[in-house]
Amino acid sequence: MKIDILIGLGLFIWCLWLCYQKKSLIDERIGTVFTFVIAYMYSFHFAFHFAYFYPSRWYVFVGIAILVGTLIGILFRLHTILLGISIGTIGTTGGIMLQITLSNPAVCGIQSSFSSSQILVCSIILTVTLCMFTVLLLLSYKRL
Amino acid sequence: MWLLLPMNIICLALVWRLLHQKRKIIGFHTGMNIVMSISGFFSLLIGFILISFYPYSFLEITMVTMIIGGIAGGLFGGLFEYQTFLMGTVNGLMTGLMAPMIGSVIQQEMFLYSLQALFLFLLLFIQYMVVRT
Repeated sequence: MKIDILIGLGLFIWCLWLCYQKKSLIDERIGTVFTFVIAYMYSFHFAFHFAYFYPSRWYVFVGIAILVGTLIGILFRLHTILLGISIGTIGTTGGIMLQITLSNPAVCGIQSSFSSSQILVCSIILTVTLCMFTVLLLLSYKRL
Repeated sequence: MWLLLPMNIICLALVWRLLHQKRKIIGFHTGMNIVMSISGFFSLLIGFILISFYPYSFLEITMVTMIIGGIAGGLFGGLFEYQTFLMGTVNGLMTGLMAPMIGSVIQQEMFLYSLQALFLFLLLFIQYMVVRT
């Protein structure tokens, strides 16, 4: 789980760096799409993993939503900050929801329970998806 | 906590009035982002507030939140284009569907208050952005 957070952090910083480098080539339309997908994917990823370690620390989640959304949105336009924060919040709530459902299914009315290895597999799937997404993003950067 | 509900509606009405006045000069992308932010956050907050008051009426609260979120998204989206109308309505409906779920799982008032503070900050930010436009 901690490795997944580190991988996510590394990929996020890389994405930010790429966006910063190609900032002048990215117009309003592409900036909006990039903000949407990056804020959604990374806030979901971070919230899912942090909810495993700190399930009751609300300020961590609010921090993730604001930080991820603002950092990516600020690179493009003023209105992309707005989009980044709101999509970051929605992604964060989705990530918390998934983690809570997996670690404590009874809260959500699910009768069966999930083992820790199943949660780990879900976490690995999320990280692999994030890597694939970043590769796709890199390919789209090259076409700019 | 009951005060949050009318306060949010009044703030939203004020922002809608401002956007209505400036709708001709706001671009498509800016409009889309404004609509998505407002409809998502508003339905999330409404779902959180209502489920904290009526925790045993999950189905009713989900339906009410969906309807309110859809209407709010439609009202704001209708200011700009048909695309933004569609996007605002769908985003409001989807977030309204999700909000009572997350509200019933995370029963922490501080989470709600921080979301509320973030929503007010976003409304102020929208005002600043629209005035600058």
